[in-house]
Amino acid sequence: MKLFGRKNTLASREATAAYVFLSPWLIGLICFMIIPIILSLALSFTRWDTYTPVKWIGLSNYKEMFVEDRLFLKSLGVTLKFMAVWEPLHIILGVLLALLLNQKLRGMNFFRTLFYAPAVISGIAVALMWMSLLDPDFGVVNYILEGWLGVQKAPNWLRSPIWAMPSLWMMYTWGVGGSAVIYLAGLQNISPHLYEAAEIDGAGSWRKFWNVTLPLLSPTIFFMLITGLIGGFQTFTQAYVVGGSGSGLGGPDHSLLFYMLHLYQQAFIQGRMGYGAALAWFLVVIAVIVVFVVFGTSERWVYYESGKKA
Amino acid sequence: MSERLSRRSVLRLMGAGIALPVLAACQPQVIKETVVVEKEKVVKETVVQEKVVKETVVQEKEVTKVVEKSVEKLVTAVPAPPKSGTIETWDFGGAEFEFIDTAMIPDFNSRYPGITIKHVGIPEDGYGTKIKTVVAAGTPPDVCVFADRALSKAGQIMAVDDLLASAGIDWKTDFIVPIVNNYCMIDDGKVYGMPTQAALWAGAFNEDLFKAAGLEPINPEQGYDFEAWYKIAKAINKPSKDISNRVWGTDVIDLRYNNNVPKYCGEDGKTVIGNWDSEGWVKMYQIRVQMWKEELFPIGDVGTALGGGPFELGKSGMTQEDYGPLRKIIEEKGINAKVCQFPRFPATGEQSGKASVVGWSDSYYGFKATKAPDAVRAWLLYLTTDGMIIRSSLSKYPPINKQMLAKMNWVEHNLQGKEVMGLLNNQQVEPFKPYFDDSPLETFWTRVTESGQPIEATLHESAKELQANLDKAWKEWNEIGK
Repeated sequence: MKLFGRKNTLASREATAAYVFLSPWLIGLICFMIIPIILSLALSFTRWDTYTPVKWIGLSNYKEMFVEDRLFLKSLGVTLKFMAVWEPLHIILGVLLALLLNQKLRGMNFFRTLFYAPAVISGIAVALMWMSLLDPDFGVVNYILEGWLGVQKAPNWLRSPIWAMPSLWMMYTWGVGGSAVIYLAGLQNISPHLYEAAEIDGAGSWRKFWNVTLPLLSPTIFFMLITGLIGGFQTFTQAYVVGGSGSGLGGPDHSLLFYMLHLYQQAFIQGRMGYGAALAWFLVVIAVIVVFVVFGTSERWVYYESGKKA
Repeated sequence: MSERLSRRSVLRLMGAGIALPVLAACQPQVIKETVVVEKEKVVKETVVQEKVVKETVVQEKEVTKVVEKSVEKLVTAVPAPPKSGTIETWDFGGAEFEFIDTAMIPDFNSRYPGITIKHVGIPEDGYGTKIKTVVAAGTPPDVCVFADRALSKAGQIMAVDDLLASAGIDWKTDFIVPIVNNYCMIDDGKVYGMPTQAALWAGAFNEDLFKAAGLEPINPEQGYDFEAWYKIAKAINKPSKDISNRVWGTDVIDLRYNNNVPKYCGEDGKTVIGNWDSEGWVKMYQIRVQMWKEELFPIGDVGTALGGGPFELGKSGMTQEDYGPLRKIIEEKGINAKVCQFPRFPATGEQSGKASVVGWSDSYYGFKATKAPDAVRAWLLYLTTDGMIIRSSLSKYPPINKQMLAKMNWVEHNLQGKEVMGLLNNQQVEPFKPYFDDSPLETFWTRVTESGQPIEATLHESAKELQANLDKAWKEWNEIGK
């Protein structure tokens, strides 16, 4: 018993020390994450303009969302439309780029740096650069399209409700190098013995890719898909910069009115904090559902070499 | 000699310290004025029927010089100066508000040496959000410019009617009333914002381009309709692939500020349907869409490609501009620009005489939560009285106070002063409406231009969207303070 007492004393001392060292982070987590999350949930059932006291209104904000706010469904639609194209595109292009960057060629480090560079540039700078490139009258893109390629009437890009979203797909795809580097790390973790074994069995390039590379890269793809979905729902920076401000927020005919932009407008421009909180919680619910669905399907297509889920 | 000051010396210094600022405050203000100093007679000889007839003709030759003239201080009664206090005053900062630090605070402190003014500049983009944040945190500034009028409705801002009255100012006769109504008040009839100037947002035209196109200059007192605007733009417009040779007929002119009848939100500020989508507006949009199709105005970021706005570079026949920047365009860029009204629908009755322009003011608001209310009141009153003289001389905008205008001879001393004051005095009072989401105005324009949708049907649809947003804003406005 004495021995146990000694162990408990040591263990409890060690546990206490651990909590002491963790406490700054824990206090920060509680103060800046958990408490605000709980407060925002409470706020979603209130009306608060920051000038007057908070007023409890029950489910009115949620009712307004589904019944009165015509921009709610519009913004959700814009976000889902963006993700429906950008998610597969950034995975496919990211994997392809990673395969290219995985080649053992001279100067490959230079290319890896070059393709990764856009990922470190601030979103605002990227947006401003693309606004300049895509200017219908003075931008380089239309100059090439009309001047070199002979296109009769080049698109109006960010001024057109039809071409505004493709403009954003281009803008985000330009930064695919960031995810390519993660796929590259996944590729480099694949044992070369597996490719040798496949070659011995007579597998060609396509078979090696389909039966060795993709399955072993699938955990990385799964991770990028989840983070991409969460990030996609939170798309804001570039859309805010290119979509105009004031009455023009959300681009031409609201074609770039992403969900987070709509939330920002309601909460911080219109001063409807309670409604903004309700929009935020609805987004959490949607994102959780989507992530759970993806997790649920992952057993069918995500392969873990150890046989166990990470 | 003793290193310590004697009691007598201390008392003398204290007396001087109190007396000097009071005397300085009592000194008349000095302004510069051009006066006639001499006239001369000239004797002229004329020959009439071969006879020389001497005729004395008085020709008045005016020789003028600039003299310094003392004028009575405008304020006849001021609040008792508070002994001390520190107040924080917020505005957008930057070069636009530099004069607060360089001229106004030193002048104010010469009157109120015990009050410290801390001037904080917040960039305009984040200004509204910052105000909301600090109000929510319970730490608003003492004074700020351009406060959301919902703050007044929520009881956070002090009304200044009594403050103006205490200084002998009747804003209904002494100020340019539409500016006070449109920018300093809410729907309860009290004045909350202290106006500091009378800025004019109006149309402007390039007289040289008009002459080159064979057009008569626009008379600023007279309105002109959209058909006339279209014809002017068409006459001046010179298409060209080379942007250095391109001349546009006109810049885009925002329709929200026109003296259009019916007003797009109605005379009560609550009714969009039946007003914005009425026949006159449909016809106006038809003209505007036609102008867009014919590329009579620049679209997109032309300024970056040109290295400046088209109008300031002499590449656009008309524009909308603030009086201050317009003066810079005239004086620094050498453009022969003249102020005029915005285009509008033909109006009848009382409205026909009203100018289609917008007069506005940087208005300052005092928060009730301030810990130094007397200091705040002293600063607010200063901003709209003696501080306004400094501001007007630096910004070139006229003061909003008519007595001050007369004493400064502002009309004579400033470019197109008579036209500017004529427009400011003749503008209309806009019906109050709370801040609301007016994005349907923009989305409608995109739909009928980029998407090619039919104007009338799209306008009816957009009017319903705008009405819904306005109704929501009014509903929430009426809830404030309940």
